[in-house]
Amino acid sequence: MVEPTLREAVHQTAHGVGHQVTQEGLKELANWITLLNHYFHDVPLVHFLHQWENVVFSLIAGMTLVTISFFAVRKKTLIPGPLQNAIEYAVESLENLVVGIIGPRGQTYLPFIGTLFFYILIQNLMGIVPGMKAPTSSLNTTVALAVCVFFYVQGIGIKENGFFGYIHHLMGSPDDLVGWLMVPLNFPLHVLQEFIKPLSLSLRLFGNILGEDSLIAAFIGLGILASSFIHSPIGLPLQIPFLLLSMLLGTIQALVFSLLTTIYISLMLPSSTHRTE
Amino acid sequence: MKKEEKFYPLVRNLGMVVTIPTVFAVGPFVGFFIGNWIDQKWNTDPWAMITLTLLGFVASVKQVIDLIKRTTSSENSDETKK
Repeated sequence: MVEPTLREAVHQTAHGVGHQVTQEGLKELANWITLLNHYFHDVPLVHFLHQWENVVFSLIAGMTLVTISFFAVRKKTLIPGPLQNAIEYAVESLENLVVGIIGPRGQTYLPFIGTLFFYILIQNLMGIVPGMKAPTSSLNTTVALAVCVFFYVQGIGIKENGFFGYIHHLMGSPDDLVGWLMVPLNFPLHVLQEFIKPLSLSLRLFGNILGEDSLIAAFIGLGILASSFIHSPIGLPLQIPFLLLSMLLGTIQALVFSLLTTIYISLMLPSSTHRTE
Repeated sequence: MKKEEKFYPLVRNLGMVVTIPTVFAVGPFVGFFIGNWIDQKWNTDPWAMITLTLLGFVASVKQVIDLIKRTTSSENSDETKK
């Protein structure tokens, strides 16, 4: 009885993926919450988990980050073990990147930028773990991250420039008559620019990760369809190249998000603190 | 040249390449929505929408220029340091 059920499930999945892609737009692979909801949709806890799916997976990513950090710093030694070594290398590389853009003061902002990088990286990579989902493939998650960056950058702007300095910065830092005459144009431009930043950050991350996950789902469906004529319960592994691509792009997207946050912070700082000026 | 010295400019350039299209698309989009909201609030249809969509486009161009400037200035300073 196992074989027909498996085959049925495989064909349903293949049909489901194809149907979802054509009828309902891009869809991702089923995760363990989707499966729980499919079999136990009457259980309130399962319904709750399904409703808050992205938050649950974000919490899992956060817990993973906390666990890795805990084990990495639990027994710090002068000659580091493999985990401590890997974490030290990653943190040092990020520090070089941030300090390279902002200057020595970049170390102040490193905890925020570093946390963002590792958190987004884990979230992106969760998409290629079977049974899991990348929370960053939902606009809700990426907008939440970008809103955090938005308020952090504005906070830094007010803290570093003072409130009037911040407004002066938004007016385009006018220092002569022409500059002041341009204020009616510069002020709305700068305000719009501040809103463009979080939206472009969130949309880019969301689009890339959703695209990758949908591509993997589509190729898994295609692999199952390709081998369905021999009634094989296992599909061809057509998705493997895209899993590798997803790993690469997931890392690049996390890096780009952190890099842009660093650039936005450096643009908000008073110009004397820039390393390059 | 050290591996890291090649890597950071690459990351910065990559960041720029993937950001520029999004910034260009989002600028007029933000302007449109804010303009539309102002039009509905103060019954100025369609002037605020048109003005802010255009301003959004100009803002996105300005942001791209700012980003490129900041990236290239970091790169130049890296080269001066060597």
